[in-house]
Amino acid sequence: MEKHSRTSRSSLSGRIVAVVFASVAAISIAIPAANAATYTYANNVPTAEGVERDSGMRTSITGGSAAVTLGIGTQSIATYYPAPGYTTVAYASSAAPNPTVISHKRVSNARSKCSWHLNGLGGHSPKLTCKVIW
Amino acid sequence: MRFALLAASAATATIVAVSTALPAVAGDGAQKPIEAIVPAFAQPQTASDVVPERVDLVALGGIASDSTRFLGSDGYAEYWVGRGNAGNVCLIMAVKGEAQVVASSCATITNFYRQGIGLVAGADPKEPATSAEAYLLPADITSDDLGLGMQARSSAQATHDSLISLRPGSNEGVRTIERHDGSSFRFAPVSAALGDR
Repeated sequence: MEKHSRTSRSSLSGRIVAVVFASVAAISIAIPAANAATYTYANNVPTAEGVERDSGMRTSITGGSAAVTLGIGTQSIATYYPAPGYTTVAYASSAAPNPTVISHKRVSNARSKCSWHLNGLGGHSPKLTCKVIW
Repeated sequence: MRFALLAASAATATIVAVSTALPAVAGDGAQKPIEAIVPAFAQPQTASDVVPERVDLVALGGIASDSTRFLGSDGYAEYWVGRGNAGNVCLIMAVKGEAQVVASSCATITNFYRQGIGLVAGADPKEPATSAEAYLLPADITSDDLGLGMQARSSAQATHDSLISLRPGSNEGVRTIERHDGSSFRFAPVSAALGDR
């Protein structure tokens, strides 16, 4: 009898664990992890308004992201080919504090740059984080 | 047995953490279901709401593929809204053109309620024809409230009421709207300013 009781409890625990793990798995599937390959070239770096952070030459770029710790203003991110023959591949800007993300067709030997702006009113240096997606 | 209990506890804690990370409401007067703030989410997703394959929702902020809703299009881009990491509201913009530029910006529900989402993107900021500019507004704010009625509707096709699409650089000036619940909405145009070098 005792053995039967232990078996029942063990079985019940197993079922609970199984149900809980199934729930976690379902939720995990519903919330896709951000698993794109990224390289952070500005990591929470104090940056004055209009100052551009640059990734340097990258063999492959498919996008980028920028975020500034500022409640107002605009942050921008761009993928470009440098001078001579400066060419912008893609750019995006959005209102802080919401991060800006772009994706575009894969390009080779290009660079990424980011900055933030507040109509020349930004008197301090909030922290800027920018990444290359490749 | 001890392992099973620990595992169950950990899993339960995970569920609670994930559940609380997906709030249906936000503070600052926005104690409403998300569908009341973004009406597009009140309708089930249909085939036309699914983004094309070139839109990488993971790269754009971990946006859930089953959350996207088509908002409309104009001559320059197509627009969707979706739910990103931690239940954030995301505006997605796929700019027409060879560069295949797709952009997104995601806001917490609280920030979205306070200022919406503004986004400018394209292939070249010096070529307006390759760029698009759009703003996603909470349900209680209209383009007329912002004085953008006619401007916002020009050239838009099947555009959702909460979406304003403009020509880059055509809109200037911050506007603040006082709500009946005592909170305010602050509309700030996005200005793309990137140097050439």
